[in-house]
Amino acid sequence: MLEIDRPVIRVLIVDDHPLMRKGLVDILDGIDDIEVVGSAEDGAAAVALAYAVKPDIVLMDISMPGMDGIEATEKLVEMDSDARVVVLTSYSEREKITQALAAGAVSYLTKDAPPEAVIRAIRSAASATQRPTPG
Amino acid sequence: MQHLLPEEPRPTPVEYAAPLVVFVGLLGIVAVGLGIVTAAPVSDPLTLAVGAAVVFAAAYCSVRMTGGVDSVWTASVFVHLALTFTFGPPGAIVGAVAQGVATGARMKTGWFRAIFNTANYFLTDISAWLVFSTLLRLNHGVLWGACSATAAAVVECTVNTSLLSAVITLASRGKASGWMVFKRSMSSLILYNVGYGWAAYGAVLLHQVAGTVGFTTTLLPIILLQGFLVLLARRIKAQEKEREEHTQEREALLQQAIDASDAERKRIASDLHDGVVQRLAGLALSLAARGSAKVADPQLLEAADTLRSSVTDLRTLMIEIAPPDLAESGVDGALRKLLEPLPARGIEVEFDSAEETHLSADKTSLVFRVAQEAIRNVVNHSQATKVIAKLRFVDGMVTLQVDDNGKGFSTADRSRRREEGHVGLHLLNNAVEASSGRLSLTSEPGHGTSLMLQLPC
Repeated sequence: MLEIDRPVIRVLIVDDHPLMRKGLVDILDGIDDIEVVGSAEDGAAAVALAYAVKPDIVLMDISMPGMDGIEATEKLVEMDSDARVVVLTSYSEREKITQALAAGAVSYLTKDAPPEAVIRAIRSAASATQRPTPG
Repeated sequence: MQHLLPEEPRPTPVEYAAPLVVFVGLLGIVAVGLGIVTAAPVSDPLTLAVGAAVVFAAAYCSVRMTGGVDSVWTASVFVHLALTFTFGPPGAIVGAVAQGVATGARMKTGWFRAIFNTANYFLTDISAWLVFSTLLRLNHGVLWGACSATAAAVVECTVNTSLLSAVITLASRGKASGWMVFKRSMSSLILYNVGYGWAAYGAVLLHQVAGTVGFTTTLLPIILLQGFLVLLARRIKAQEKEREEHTQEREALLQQAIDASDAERKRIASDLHDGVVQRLAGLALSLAARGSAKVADPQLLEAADTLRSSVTDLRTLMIEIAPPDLAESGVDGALRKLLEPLPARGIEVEFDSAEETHLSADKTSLVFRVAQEAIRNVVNHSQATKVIAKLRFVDGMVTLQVDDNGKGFSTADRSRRREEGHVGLHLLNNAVEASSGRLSLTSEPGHGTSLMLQLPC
């Protein structure tokens, strides 16, 4: 069977919990069309790293000490980054999810989502032709 | 003196409707006219003065209570009846004025009520005196005198109650039934008045025998009784106040305990959220990654699934122990959060919500607590595969309906569960009824369960 080569999706992981970062790296590590290009433990580090590594997708935790995921998403939009943000939340922080989507995130995932859902969300966000306008 | 008496509310302002003003005005004119026509010098001004002073004191210190014991009892009525029987119209004038002034001073009734009250006292006393003096002319003897006094007292009560009923009906613009007021007042006052009549006749006899001393002697027991009743009223009032303070203190303590418990629940939920949940979720992903590596390990995949399921359980638990901020999310948002974990437990959810109306914080909390209990029962006991929740705001009512397709239960099941200590819904039902709402639960074995809450917004 012939398979069309898919472009590699460059992913930046942002979460203040080391085990969560490690878990996400572990499941994405073996996926051919996904490459983890970095990980950050808070929003400020994520913004700096995104500027440096130019990811396609940022898996962004919402609740983090210092700059949280919503503010970091706003900053990425402000600096005109091409990265699309998929927010991660440990449970249904509906208001915060709404805020993150309003800030420019393209979708969200709960942290108890199965690995395939995470991968699907990354591919789906990467294939979206245009990032939604925040507001 | 004022601080020694039981506190009482001030009368409401008078609404000066024309028929009421005309009625009271006419009453005042008739009373003044009769007073002028019938006024005459008295042979024993000292006794009259003593009587007037006692009327004033007794009227000012009348036993009036709100709540607890309902009584407008005062010895002054007896004293001015005694003055009237002893001195005729001059006694009625002095008694009525003393009573009217004292009541006005104590109750701050205002000039309009004072005019009515004084005219009322005078006209009732003069009516009683007319009957008493007329009957005494027909026969002699103490027994006849007592019977005459009794008849006079009944007339006094009737005239007094009739005038009061008329003025209450006019003041209420016809909303209060004059006849009902008359019947109620007559039944509660007639025995007092008969007693007053006999006692007043006693005062007449003793005055004939021993002048001022004799007259005053009759007053003493009644004045002492009034003193005792005033003390009793004060004590009852103090106890009511103390009970009220205790209730408020208990409520404050209960609220503090609830607040402390809420804060502790939020802290636990926050700790779970920031710690265990994150670590377990990360671990589940790592395990899944290892389990689905090139050489798949089903045991690792199973462990990852178990961990993920534990994270889902923890999410449910977190919502259970620390409900979402209802003021922020509203009832609709809070219910969505409650329902969210259900699909992971294999329960299909249908949520239908209309546009939200403003609900007070306590009613929002009540709707949430009912929904929480309903959903907890669905998850823990129903074995349902589908839940339909509907939230509506119609005609000033919020309606919450939670239906499931579970195994249902019988009345006997419900009684058994209550005996086992599952009283969540029973307690909620009390809270709902206290808020003028209605909570109903219908179920049948094999046909699911339906819970319906209706609460005024």
